[in-house]
Amino acid sequence: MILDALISMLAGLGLFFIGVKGLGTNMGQLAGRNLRQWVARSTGSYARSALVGIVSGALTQSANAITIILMSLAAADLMTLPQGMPILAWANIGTSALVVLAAVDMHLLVYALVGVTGFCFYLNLDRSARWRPVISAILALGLLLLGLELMRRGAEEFRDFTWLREFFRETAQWQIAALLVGALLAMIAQSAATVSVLAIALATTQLLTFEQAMLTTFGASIGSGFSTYLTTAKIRGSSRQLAVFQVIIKTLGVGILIPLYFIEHYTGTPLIAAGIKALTQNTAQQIALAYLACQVAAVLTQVAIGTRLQPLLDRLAPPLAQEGLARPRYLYDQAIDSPEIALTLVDREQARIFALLPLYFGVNEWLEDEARSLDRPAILTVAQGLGRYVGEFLGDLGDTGADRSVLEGATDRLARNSLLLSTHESVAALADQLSQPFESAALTTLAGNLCEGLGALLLTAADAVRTLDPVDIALMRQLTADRDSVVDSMRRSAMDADQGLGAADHRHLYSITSLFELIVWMLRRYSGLLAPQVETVTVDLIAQPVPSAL
Amino acid sequence: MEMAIEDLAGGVTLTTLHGRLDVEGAGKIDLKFNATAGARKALIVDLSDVSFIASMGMRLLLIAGRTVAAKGGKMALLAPTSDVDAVLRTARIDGVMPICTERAAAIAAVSPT
Repeated sequence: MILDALISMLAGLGLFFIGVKGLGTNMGQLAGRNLRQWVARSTGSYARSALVGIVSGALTQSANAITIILMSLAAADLMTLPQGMPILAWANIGTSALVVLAAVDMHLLVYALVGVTGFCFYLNLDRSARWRPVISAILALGLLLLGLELMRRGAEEFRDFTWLREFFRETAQWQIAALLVGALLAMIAQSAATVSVLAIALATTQLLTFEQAMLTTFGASIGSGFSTYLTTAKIRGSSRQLAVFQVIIKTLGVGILIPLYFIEHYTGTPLIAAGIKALTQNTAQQIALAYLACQVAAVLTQVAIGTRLQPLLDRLAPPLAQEGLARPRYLYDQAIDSPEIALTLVDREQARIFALLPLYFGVNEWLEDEARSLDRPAILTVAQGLGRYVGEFLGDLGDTGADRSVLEGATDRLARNSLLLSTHESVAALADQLSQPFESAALTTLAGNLCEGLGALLLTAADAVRTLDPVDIALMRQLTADRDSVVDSMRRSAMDADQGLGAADHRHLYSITSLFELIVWMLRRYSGLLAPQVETVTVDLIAQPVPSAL
Repeated sequence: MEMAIEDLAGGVTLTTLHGRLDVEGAGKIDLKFNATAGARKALIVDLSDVSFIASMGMRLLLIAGRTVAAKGGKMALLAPTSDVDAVLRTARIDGVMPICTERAAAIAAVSPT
């Protein structure tokens, strides 16, 4: 039995983590302009946010799940943190449904989600670029909730253990112990509602008094906040502020109720317990009301000091440097109403993405300050985030019925966008390979040459992309001209310099030189997309002057 | 990074660089080097005493070459060490400006035809 419960909880935790990761990844891909506008409308007023929070809390029965979903939305830039905070606070009230009803079949919702995604897969909708992120996000949500459900069931099995009931009854005799037991069990079960339901079961069988059960419920409320905090421990950046916020409002909320309880207990002044007892004589309902009181106290805390918590949240979960960089600096949603200006803004945004390329090789002297500290995975994340936004913006621009020249301009830029992201991936892959230590001195030298040589090419190309000056573009084109002999000569030199290269070294050699060749080709192709008319112009620094007007 | 300028016959200017042309070195001579390029129409850059060249150093050379070319002039690189030469060729700089091993060839490459 114990093994069953433990394995259930382990499986639940595993599914939960898979769901969290899938949801985060796919929400990022869904971060389109239309979805962002829909979210903005749904959270346009406090009342709407509260309603969304209550409904989502009631449906998922897990403030933990809601926190993760909101964090994913915030990380994907679909929602701001101030938009998410009221939803999260009110979601806590939504979770009361479980305690109030004492049993909610969350598995029906979970099964429905998995069933829907199954049909989507059957209909091959998962192969559609448009629907894949939606379907994957629903599946991830289903797995996340299924994980929680498994954990909850595992935790519920503990309820039947006599020794646990005895332990629970004994320890809950002391007020502080009741609080701690509630907190501990909620952290294990990942749910305050589950512990409260357990407390109801024990109180209705008179194993616990109402006061003990109430304190256990208070403790569970704090514990569930901390469980959210621990579950999201590996997530970095400002989206984690939501988890910290949840801990704070739940702890402060209960922090208001506990003194009231002690005043009432020791002075006999009728306060919270008396108030609840005045509302109902039914013990189960009394505990449910105590649970509800915790959630209402959390909401009151959010209303009272929510905005003032921001400096503290910034300190406890500081935003990552890449968060600001991954947001468009020139493009904005409304720019779509002025197509010609929009295309110019796209050019500037793409130049920003391009300017990150030399950074893979540590060339950062000319970049904006916050970009300089990015590590390689973060550079790619920033570029992909920005590129996705630009791509969706251009897609939307094409749907506006703009005139032909605008459509052609948008199509050109879409092609550039796709090539730019591929270039980022290839440069990131090459930089990764070049950063590995090589045993062969010849390969080490070649790696150094490739880093510096490609760095110079990328810097020159970034100049051309930024200025869009035909002479710069022509120079970029000439530097990247098709010259098979260069790469062949590199390979030969390395092999001549070190006759003892092994099979692995040869593979490395071909891999890095092929990637270099591919990147140079991509840069040349990009220069062609920048200004097709430059194709025929030669910027010969050797034999002829640069034309003054190309 | 040190830089010396010598005017040769026929309006050719020889700029000799000493040291490492890395980020720091490029930053040190940036202004003076570009000013020289902006004022000359036939420029030779002697790299024989440059022990290392980084991407920022090559960018410096390319910008100078572009500046000289914009006035209808020419620029050539002279006698880089084999290590520096390999990096220059990896960056394909030999495709836009000549890399000469002899001073006479460099003078011929930049002299007006």
